[in-house]
Parts: sequence; structure tokens; C-alpha cells
Amino acid sequence: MTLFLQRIIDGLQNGAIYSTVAIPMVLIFKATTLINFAQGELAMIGAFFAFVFAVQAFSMNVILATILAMILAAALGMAIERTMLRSFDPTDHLPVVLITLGVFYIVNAFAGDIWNYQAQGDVPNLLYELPFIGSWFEGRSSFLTSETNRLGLRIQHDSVGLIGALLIMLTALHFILNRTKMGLAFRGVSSNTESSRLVGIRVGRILSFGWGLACAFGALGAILVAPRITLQPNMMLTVLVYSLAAAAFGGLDSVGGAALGGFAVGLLNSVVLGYVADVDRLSSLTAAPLLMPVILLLVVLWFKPQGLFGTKTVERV
Amino acid sequence: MPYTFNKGSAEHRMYRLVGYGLLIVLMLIIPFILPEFQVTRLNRAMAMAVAILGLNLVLGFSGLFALCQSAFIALGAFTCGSLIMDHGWDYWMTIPAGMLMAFLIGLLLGIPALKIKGLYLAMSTVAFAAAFPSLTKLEFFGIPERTGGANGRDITEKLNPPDWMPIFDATEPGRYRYFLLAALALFAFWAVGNLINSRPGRAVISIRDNEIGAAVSGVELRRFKVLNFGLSAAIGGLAGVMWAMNSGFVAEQDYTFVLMVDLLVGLVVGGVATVSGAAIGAIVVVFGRWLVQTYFNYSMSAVIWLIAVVALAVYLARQQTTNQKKIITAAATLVVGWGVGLALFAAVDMPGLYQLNGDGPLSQAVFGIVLIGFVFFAPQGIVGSWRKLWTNVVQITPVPPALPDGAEILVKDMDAIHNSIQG
Repeated sequence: MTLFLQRIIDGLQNGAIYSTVAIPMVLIFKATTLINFAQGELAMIGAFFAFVFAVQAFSMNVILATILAMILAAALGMAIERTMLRSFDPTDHLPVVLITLGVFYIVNAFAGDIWNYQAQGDVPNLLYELPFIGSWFEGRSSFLTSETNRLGLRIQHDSVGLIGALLIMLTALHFILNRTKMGLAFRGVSSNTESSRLVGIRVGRILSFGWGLACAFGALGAILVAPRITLQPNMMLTVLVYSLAAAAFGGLDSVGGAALGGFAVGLLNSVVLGYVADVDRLSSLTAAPLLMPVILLLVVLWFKPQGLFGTKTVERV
Repeated sequence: MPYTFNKGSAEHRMYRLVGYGLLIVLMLIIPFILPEFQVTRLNRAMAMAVAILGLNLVLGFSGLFALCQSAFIALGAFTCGSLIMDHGWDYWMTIPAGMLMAFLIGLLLGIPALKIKGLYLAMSTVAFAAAFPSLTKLEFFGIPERTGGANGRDITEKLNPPDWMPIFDATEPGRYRYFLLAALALFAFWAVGNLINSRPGRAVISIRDNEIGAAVSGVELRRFKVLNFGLSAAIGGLAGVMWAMNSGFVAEQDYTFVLMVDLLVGLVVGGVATVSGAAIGAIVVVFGRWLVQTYFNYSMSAVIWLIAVVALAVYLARQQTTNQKKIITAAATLVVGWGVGLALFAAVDMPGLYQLNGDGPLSQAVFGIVLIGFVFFAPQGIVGSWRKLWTNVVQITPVPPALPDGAEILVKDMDAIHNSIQG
């Protein structure tokens, strides 16, 4: 029973990581109906921006560095959207898919060239630097010391923080999308681009906004998970597979669905693989066979192609 | 003035004969000119060419996003290695087995994803391609023993020239393998070229161009999509067997998502939806990567920063109205951008600025830039651009098919009606 509970906890902990990449992916899909395969890499470079500000160059306060990195990542995402993707017809998938893969390649190589393909040491943990509650996290990050609580369970307080941060992110996104004028325009564009253009919404600006928002939140997610999955240029490669499955599971155009999908993938992975293949707990994130996400993707496509919370598209001739 | 002749005329046949003759002669001479290690590289380019051909069949000709050709290559290669090592098969016997394996897995993956339109197929295939290397280490059914797991597996029985062939040096088997692989590759190209010009090929292309129109014209969408996907997977499996024949070693590190992007680069560079583009693209990818790794030793960070600053300068300058303003804007952007770059590089102490490393990330970045550049500036690829240029030299005018007998009578009747109306 303890083992089972432990696996559920592990699954939730890992699921939070997958959600952080799946949510921005869904945001970009909503805005432009394209799947951004470079999402993981853009988040990774955002985490490196924060690392540069906080450790390598300017020794900034981590919170300030995070905010700056989010702004920079948003600017990068907007620049990519404006210079590379805007001129293509989004319904013609081939060029846009190729371009996101090219961006994936270039960003990965760029980071690999500057920071090498090695895990960076002393990555600051954003959670420890938070006012009031930071010390609580710092005092109890008992993951590596394998300290267990009264029930015999190992709970990483980092992960509790990550899940909390995820909830805050979701609330913020909900607020931005449903309570602001920009969010209303965004939902309009995502529901019907041509009609939005006709009623006077500047579609280009909304696309930029969507990309900026997605990349900023992606960077925040990567900064939060970097201390756990190590900060290195390939940190998001496996996470990308899980989050593709998460996004498909939750429904490609549902932000909340993507978050839930991330947890579902994490749970499925840790519970099923834990009993079938006895994967080592520690390595279950980076070295585990990526079997479960592929199977999940196939099952979702077979039985419920639009995902749990996605909109079912109906095509008229 | 271009030289013009009709399609199907004696001149056209001569033209084709000379073209194919030159190609065959070139293919016969090349392995004896190049050194052995380059012939081995050429062999890999041929395996890549066949893989890109399969990718082209599904992505170029039928417009389906199957981005897991690297996994099918791996399936072919691992099937070949395992059958030879564990069951004592010969190389040639593993060709159909590898193709069948890739075909079946392709069906398994394709049937659910092809039910729906859009990018779902791209998602699931990308996930499959990225996951495949780790799936080969999965501890089920003795998979790691068959695939060699993380260390890869050496196929101890190599493909060496037999004793009764004195042209080939036994210590340099690359040339012998070249001819075997060239025969396989030519066969694959011939088969796919004919398929594209046949009834099912036209059905597949019509699905890409207008799905609803194709369905209305009686094309069974599901069947053609799934079979086309499976066929492309089988061609990928053939490429995998060719790969294993050439290297005599299979390892999961060779078939990662990087290989998939390489194949895509080859597809786009060669020309989407062209048969010969697959061969050109494969040669560009394999030899291009080697050239970049050997001769291109600049600091990538500096290069990329420079590209970004120049692009920004051009962009800002084009928004200005007068020439004077344009020049000032461009110059100011360049100076400020480069200054910021220098400050940044100095502040961060990036190893990339000083330690020039061409083999790892740099070639990857160059490929990414080449991919995006082709998508922007030459979406028809090398072959497409070449065809456009070549029309200035030779033009082949298509001849309309001969009318059946009844058509003439109908036309005469039309004339009579026309005259009666006028009269």
C-alpha cells in the first residue's frame, strides 16, 4: 500500500513537470492551430536566461532573474512568430512544422554550444527564494536524503511547490484569458480567425501575444523544474514526448485539459511502469522507456481523438 | 531559345536514354574515384536516400505528417541484425523481413492516427520517433538482447566480397557493398517512380490536393492513406537493412530524432514531392554534415548573433522611408547589436566564443538554418529549382492523348449546331 501511494505521489510529481510544457503548447495551438515542437527547447533556453542572470553573469536576485528571463523568452517567442511563422498560411502544415523543427534544432545547438551538453551545477531553486515560504521548502527538500515521513512516504516539497506554482499559473492564465480584453480577443481569434479580423481585432498582435504568453509561462515552468531534472540543453527532450501525450490526452485546445493530461501521463507512467517493468524511481524521468506516452497517444487517437476536454471539430463540405 | 521537342517523340526517348546512361556511368565510376571511407559515406547516403524516398511518398506525395521514418529505419536495421545474429539468416533474406516488420508497425501506428485530420499524426509520430531509441532498451520479450540495448550490437558476419570477384579488395568491402546497395536503391527508386505515375499513385496525390474531391471521385481515403503510410514505412525498413548492410553494426544512438530531422532536411533540400530529390537531398545531408564538421570552425554563438543582428538591421531599415534614414538605422542597429553581443559574451564568459567546436552542435545548427532557409526561399528544393532553370535549355511539350473515335463525331455535331445557330 505504501508503495502504491508512493507511486501515485511520484506520478503526480512527474506529471507536474509534463504539464509545464504541455500548457504552453496548448496555448500556442489555440492561437495558431500549429503544434510547436520547439516548445520544450524554448522553455529550456528561458531557464538558461534565468541561470545567466542569477548565477553566471550578474548575480541577480532569483525572482528578478526569473521575471527578466520570462520577458526575454516572451520576446524570443514573439520574434520567432513574427519573423518566421507569420508569413505562412497556418492551414498549410508542412512549412510551419518544418520551421518549428528547425527552431528546435537551432535553439538546442545554440544552448549546447554556449553551455555545453553537461548538467550545470548550483542551479538556484526559485522556490527557496520566495518570501515567507521559501525557507519551508529549503528546510524540507528531502528527496536526495531519502528522508521519509510518518507514513513511510517520500514527498518532495519542491514538487508540492511546483504543483502549487502550476495552480497559480493556471489561475493566472484563466484570469488573463477570461477577464482581460486581450484574453477576449485571444479567445475570439482562437475560435474564428476570419470573423475576429472582421470585427476589428488585430489578429497579428494576438498571435504575438499568444506566443509571448506561452513562452513566458514555458520559461517559468522550466525554471521551476530545472533544479529537479538538471539544467542542460537536452533537459526537455524526453519531457517533450510526455507533454505531447499530455496535450493530446487533455485535448489540444484545452489549457486545463493539458494540465490534467500531464498528471494523467505522470500517474500512468509511474504506476503502470512501476509494476510492470520495475523502473528505478530516481531514473524514471530521464532514462525510463518512453513507452507509456506513445501507447497513451495511440489509445487517445483511437478512442477519443479530440482528447478529454477538447472541442470536437466538425467539417462541412 | 530552349530546345523543344514533344513528349514521347524519338528525340525525347533519346534524351532520356542519354540522361539515364550518364547516370549509370557516373554511378559505375564514382566508387573507383573516391577513397574507401568516402564510399562508405556514400553507401550511407544511399540508405538515407531510400529512407527519404519513403518519407517523400507519405509526406510529399500524400501530404500526411509521418515524422517517424527514423524509427522505421531502426526497425529494419534491428530486424536485420537480430535475424542474422540470432537465427543465422543471410543478409538478403532479411530484406523482406525488415520491410514487413516496418510495414506492420507502420500500420499499427497509422490506422488510428489517419482517422483524423490535422496534426495528430505528426504528434504521435514525433513521439514515436523520439521514444523509439529508448524502446529498444525495454526489458520485455528479450528486446535488449536482440537489439544490443544501449551498447549497440555488432553483426559479426559482415558483408564481404566473395573470393571469385577479384575486382574488389577483401580488406576494403565498401566498394562491393556500394554496388549491392546501389542495385537496391535503384530498384526502390524505379518502383516508387512507377508507383507515382500509376493509378494508385495518382489516387494518393489527389488525396493530398483535395481530399473531398478525391473521395467524390471514388478514391477510398482510408485504404489509400493507410497503405501508403505502410508502404513508406516498408521502404524505411529497406533503408534500415541497407544501413545495417553498410555498417555491420546497429545501435540505438544512430536512430534518434536527430536522424529524423536530418531526413526532413534532406527531403526539403532535395525537393518535396520529387523522386530524384530524395537522392540529391541524402547526398547533401550526409556529405554536408561531414563538410561542416571538417571545415567549418567558427564560433557558432558569434555567427548566430551576427545573423540575428543583420536580420534585425534589415528589418528595421526596410521600415524607414528615405534612403538616408535606412542607412542610419541599419548602421546604428549593427553597431548597437554587435556591441551588446560583445558585452554579453564578455560578461557571461561563454566557452563557445573561444573554444571552436565544429563537430557537435554547430553542424546541427547549420542544418536547422538550412532547413528554415529552404522553407523560406526555395520551398521547391534543389530539384524543383533546377527543373525551373532547365526549362531555359530543354523544353518537353506534353502531347494530349489521342481522342477516341467517337469524339470526332461529337465535335462535328457541335459544329453543325454552331452553324445552325449562327444561320
